[in-house]
Parts: sequence; structure tokens; C-alpha cells
Amino acid sequence: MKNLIEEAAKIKGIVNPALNDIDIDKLFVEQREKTNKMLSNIKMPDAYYEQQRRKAEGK
Amino acid sequence: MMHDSYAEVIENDDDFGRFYFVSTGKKGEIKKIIAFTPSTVDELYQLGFGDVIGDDVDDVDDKVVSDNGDRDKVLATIVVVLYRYTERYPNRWVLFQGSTNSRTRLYRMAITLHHEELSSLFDIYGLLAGDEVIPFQKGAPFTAFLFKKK
Repeated sequence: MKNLIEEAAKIKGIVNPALNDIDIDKLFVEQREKTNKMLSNIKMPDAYYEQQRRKAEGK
Repeated sequence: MMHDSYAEVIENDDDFGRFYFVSTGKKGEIKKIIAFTPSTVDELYQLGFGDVIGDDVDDVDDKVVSDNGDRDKVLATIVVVLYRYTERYPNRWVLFQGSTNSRTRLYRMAITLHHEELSSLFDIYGLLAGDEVIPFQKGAPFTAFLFKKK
């Protein structure tokens, strides 16, 4: 049993460029459509809008 | 405390949004894909997760119940990948929900169980049916979960 940071450090993180070829648009299509529909009226936390404000100001 | 996770996670190198690992258990080896995809909300990405069911790595089923006897290890791997992803993209918010209600309940239980450790690294929110996002609360009927690196 380890903590999360230790577990993350353990990951070998092998890069395989073949994964770049996966067409993300073809993955989890039904789930993404369902989620995007759900997001149409989402009210995000204040921290999100603060982040967006800073982004718009270029900070 | 987290469960052990799978150490050999393969990742892509263009957008760092696709991850692959192999679950090993009582039914043998099952290939798993985790993908982060943009949503219709700026800076909000969806975490998708499923089994590779065909010869092509993008032939994925996110509803299949693998029953490979390593559920906690798989969930721990998803969380570790989420951590790595948000290390790379600290401004991104990541949403995930189960592909079925029972899977969403499973995620809620897992977050509840490990809330103390997870909340030391992430701001964790839950989405209520009324489309309102509030800080994660144990027992609340969330339909999805949002993570943001602290």
C-alpha cells in the first residue's frame, strides 16, 4: 500500500507513439455525447470562473 | 491509503491524452484504455475508460464488466493516471462518470473511501442532477465527478 504520489512515481510511463494514432473521436462516443448533453447547463464552481477570468486577462 | 496500481502504463506523446495498460487477473490479461477528451466546456476534459475488445486498440467497450478480480488495482491505476495527467495540465478540470449507474456508484464509493488522500491532491466536486457542481460530499447523489489539481 503506497500513497498516490509514490504510485505515480512508480509508473514507468512508456511512450508508444502508436497511441497517437487512436482517433479520439471514435472513443467513448456514447458516453461523451451523454456527458456533453449534461454539460449544456452546468454551473461550475466559482474557482472555475475565477480561473477563466484570469485566463481571459492573460494572467 | 491507495491500493497498488499497475506500473506499466503506456502513454502517447502528442497530447498525453491516451493511456494503455493491461489488467492481469483471474480471467487473464485484459487491455485497458484511458482517454482524456475535450468537452463542450472550456478547460473541462472527460475521462473515458474501457476495455479493448478487438484487435484494434481503439475498439473499446466502456460498459463491459471485466470481473478480473483486480478492481481496486484498476481504480488505483485510473487515479494515478489522472494525477499524472493533471500534473501535465494543472489548469484542466477532469470530469468522469460511470458508463452505467452502478459504475458511477462504484466511483462514488471509491472516492468516499479514499477521500482524505485524494482531497490532499485534488479539489473534488460532484455534479448533481440539477447541473450544479458542489464540493464532494459523502453520500450525495452525484451523477459525475470533477477533479482539479490543487
